[in-house]
Amino acid sequence: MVTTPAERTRAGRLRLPWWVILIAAVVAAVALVIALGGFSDVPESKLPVVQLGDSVDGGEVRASVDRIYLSPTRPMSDLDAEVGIQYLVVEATLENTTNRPNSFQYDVVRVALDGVIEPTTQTDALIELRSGQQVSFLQSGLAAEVAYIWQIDSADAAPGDEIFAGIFDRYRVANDPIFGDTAYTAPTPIARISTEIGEAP
Amino acid sequence: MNRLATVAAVVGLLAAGAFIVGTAPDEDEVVEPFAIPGEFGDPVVSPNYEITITDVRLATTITADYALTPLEARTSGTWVVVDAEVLPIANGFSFSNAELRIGEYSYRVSDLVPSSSLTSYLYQPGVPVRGSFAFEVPASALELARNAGASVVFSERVAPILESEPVIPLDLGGATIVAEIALDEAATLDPASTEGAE
Repeated sequence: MVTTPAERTRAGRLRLPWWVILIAAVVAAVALVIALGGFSDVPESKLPVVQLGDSVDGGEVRASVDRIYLSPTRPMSDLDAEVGIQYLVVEATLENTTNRPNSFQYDVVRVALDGVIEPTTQTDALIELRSGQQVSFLQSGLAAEVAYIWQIDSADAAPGDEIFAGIFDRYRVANDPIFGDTAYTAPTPIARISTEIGEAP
Repeated sequence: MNRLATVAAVVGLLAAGAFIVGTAPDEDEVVEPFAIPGEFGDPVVSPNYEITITDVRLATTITADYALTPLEARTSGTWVVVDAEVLPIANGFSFSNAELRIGEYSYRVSDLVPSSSLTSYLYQPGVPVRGSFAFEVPASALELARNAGASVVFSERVAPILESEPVIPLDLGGATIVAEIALDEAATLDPASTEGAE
């Protein structure tokens, strides 16, 4: 039997069923993902634990939590809390390490006090301990001693209670599709302090 | 030949596009404010006011005894006190975002100085005012200023867009750092003592 060149070409071509090709494509895709590490375990990193007074470098602010205490009087003033209310005060040192004025100060330090203050709760007030005035920005390269202040019920905490403080950072989102290129992530914890609430100085 | 020309044209267009994208100003540059260059001691006119810097002083502590709550603020760095006269042309402007720029660093005018200062003053058109701005800078900033120079920039917003802002160079190297500067409350001047802005 004599075959034409066209018949020889068709006979020599490997014709696979479509489902074999589909399975092969899926296997190839999965193999590629595996090769790129797509199914590896997500690396777990525990939040670093630091002590009172330890400095932690964020992307914009270097911070240390220096002291945590309860007070019936608002720091740097003679203002007594209302009956049944007390001030939870977290003293910290903040230094803006960028080359411009920085306004992340309200989110650098937050606390978790069981059932009273959630880590997502921003401070009621942030004052500078030099003047007692509100901290509206951090000047570049100058360390500022500040106090974060929350008002809580007197029955909700006492000296000696355990409290967690977190030092937070934020990250710039380049070319954010919604907010342009100046968007930032939500405050993200970068260090944790576990300590006991102290007495008012 | 036609195919070669097509390929060359496509490559050329892509290269031109890459050049345009690569050299185009970014968004910040497109909307950056217009600097009004000035000189120390000379009036500088912006759309809203005329400002003249009359002196620059350095100290480690500033005080303000005129306020209900007096201020005494010592710094680990240096206070740069800039004395100035302002002749408002319009109202509704503020100096709360004025900056001292030294090299790549920007320092915002301090908000610790109690009212009324030039930063917090409620300006009225045609009523000249004399007072001071206080900038707190780290000690290293003065050394940098000797090499990189310093200027005060009167921005009206945190992120000014296509606005006019006076930029006045300062010589921080010639001033002596004193222990304390007592700030005076911002006060009106005799209108006859300044030239009016028409």
